[in-house]
Amino acid sequence: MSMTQWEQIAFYVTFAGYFIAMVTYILYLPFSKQPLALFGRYAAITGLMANSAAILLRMAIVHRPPLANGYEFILTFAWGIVMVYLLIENRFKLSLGGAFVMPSAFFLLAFVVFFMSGNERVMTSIQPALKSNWLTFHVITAMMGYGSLAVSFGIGILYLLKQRLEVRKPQGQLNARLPELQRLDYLGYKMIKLGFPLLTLCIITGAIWANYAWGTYWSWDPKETWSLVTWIIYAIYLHARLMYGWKGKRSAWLSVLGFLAVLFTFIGVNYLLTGLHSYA
Amino acid sequence: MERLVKRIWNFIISMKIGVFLLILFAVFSVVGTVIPQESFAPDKVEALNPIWQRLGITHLYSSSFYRLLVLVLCLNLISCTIHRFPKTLKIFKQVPAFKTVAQIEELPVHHKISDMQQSQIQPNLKAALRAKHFQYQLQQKEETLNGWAQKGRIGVWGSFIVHLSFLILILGTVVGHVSGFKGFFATYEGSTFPLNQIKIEEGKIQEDWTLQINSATEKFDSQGLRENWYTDLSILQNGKELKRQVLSVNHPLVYQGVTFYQSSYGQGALFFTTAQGKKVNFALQEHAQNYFQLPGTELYVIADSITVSSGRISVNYQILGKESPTPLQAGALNQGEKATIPNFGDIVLTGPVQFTELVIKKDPGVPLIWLGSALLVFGLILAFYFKPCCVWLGIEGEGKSGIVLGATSAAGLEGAQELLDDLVQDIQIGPKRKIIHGLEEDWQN
Repeated sequence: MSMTQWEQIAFYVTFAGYFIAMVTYILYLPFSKQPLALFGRYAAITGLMANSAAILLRMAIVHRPPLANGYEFILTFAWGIVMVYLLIENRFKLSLGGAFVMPSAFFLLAFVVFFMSGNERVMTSIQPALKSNWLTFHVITAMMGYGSLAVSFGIGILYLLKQRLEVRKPQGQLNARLPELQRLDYLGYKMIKLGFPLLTLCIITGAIWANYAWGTYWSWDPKETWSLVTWIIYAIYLHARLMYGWKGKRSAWLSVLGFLAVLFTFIGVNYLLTGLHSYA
Repeated sequence: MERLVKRIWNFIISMKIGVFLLILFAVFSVVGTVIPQESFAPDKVEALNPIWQRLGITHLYSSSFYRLLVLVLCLNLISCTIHRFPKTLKIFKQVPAFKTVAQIEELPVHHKISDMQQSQIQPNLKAALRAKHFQYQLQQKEETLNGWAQKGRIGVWGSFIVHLSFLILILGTVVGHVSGFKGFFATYEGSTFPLNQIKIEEGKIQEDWTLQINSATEKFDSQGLRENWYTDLSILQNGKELKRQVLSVNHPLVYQGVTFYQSSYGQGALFFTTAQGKKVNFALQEHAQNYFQLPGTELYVIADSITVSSGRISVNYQILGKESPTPLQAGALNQGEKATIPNFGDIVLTGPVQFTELVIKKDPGVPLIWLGSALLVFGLILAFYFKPCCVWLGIEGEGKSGIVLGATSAAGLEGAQELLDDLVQDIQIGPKRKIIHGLEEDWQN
């Protein structure tokens, strides 16, 4: 069997692993069975291992970091989300967050399966501009930054759910199992505190790379502009939180909005707008 | 009058205005990604109603109102930075005052450890504070022990540095626009031409140089995939070579602040003609990407298409008049053949030639951009990971069993609580000792 076929198998194992993890974590919400959370975690770890294998295999095949087209970047983006989530789950014992974070990773891969043509996934000759170490830094910071912001999005949704339950079913079993609102709010903030500097680094390394490759550090390309807009949303979140004490519901909505902007920057711009980032 | 000035100043420095301007900036930026821009989609811009162009929406990021918005944002940043500086300096220099046990217990975040003896508390406390890199001071008065400990004071500069970094970034952009230039040119290997012939988008070329393209090549790797494009470029002045370098994508040539970037590469056709008894070479790129004006006429030659087969070239050419919408003459030429142009003479297709496409740029603002970027990251790290925090402690009473601790943190109540919980744990069980060169750290002393 060729390495390309192994890579495809690894990809579909990742896809299946993330799907099973997502479904199991969602089932864990109403059915408070610890084995479900454990199974979801193992499925996510299996998916992550397969995801790592798919990335490594692609690197072995193309002899470069797998960061040259949308498919390769989705593969690393999903890896970033699940990796950050598993670390956070382990650190803060937040298994209920899986129901809201794993869908981001799964639907990204589903986008590859259902919407990306075969041509977009094949290994083609890459533009000379993409042969730069700055691109590697750019994408790694994006991967970890977007991963953290995806987790903050999941926690934001969890916060909004908990808040609704507090009003409608305060005595409910699910409400009792969810962490305190204050704790969720603080965890969401912590994730943004991690993701925001990484997003900043992502924009800066992109600017350095663009300056080396094209002689311009900023060209108002839609992808650049949307990454700036995303940055501004999180900057507003931080200003509002630190200066006006915007916490709780408003912060949660801003973290949801911020991650929607991340997704639009990542996928929407490529398919809906015209610009320079035709490769990823 | 004074009151009015104060009101205006308070309005400018207001954070609400800053956030409002940021939202406005984001909204306008999004509009520029939805409405086609001249720099990315000129054909789509032409299809739009001309009102969009007149309003400046199709070149939004260089429009007057966008620049005005940046200017206002800049004023807000400057005023905020000035306004914040004395306060930040004061907080930075401030030494915490001792608090009594009663005062500590009034803090929103406080904790009492009551089941430990002094002989145990004090060494554990000092060790924990040292391990956590706190700067601390203790004051013993008869039966009472008071103290404070603080760290992360440098973090107060985080927000200030972040705001300052934006001003530097904007300054870098302005310096680049005012004293730099940027242009693009495509030329063929073997050509020599003065630098100031290059058409530039903005700025003015001052350098009195001549450029010589020694070679232009495209290389492929062992799998047949394109590796890079290379241009061997010489910079000449009065016939003397100042600099020669092979540049490629991601490896630009830099000389005296002027940078040459490899942008693209293509195939072309080399011709020659005769003008005033002299042989003149010229080269054309396919799809009419460039033209050549026949000397002494208002006629222009373009290459509609170029095909190369077995190393031999064929060109479909067209002759255009200055005000003629349709070609005056069109035909096909094989390598070595000539075409006769009425009212001019002959053009001869010599053979294939490599075209290199380069970007030339001088931007003295770039170092400021990198400085601003570095400060931005540094400021964010300070602001997020060096949160100033302070712990107060007090022991009162004859038995002196137990201690009261209180904490405040720029990270808010949660941050203060987290800090205090951690400290209490360290006091109760002792901090984890560091292993240095295989030996356990002795923190008792």
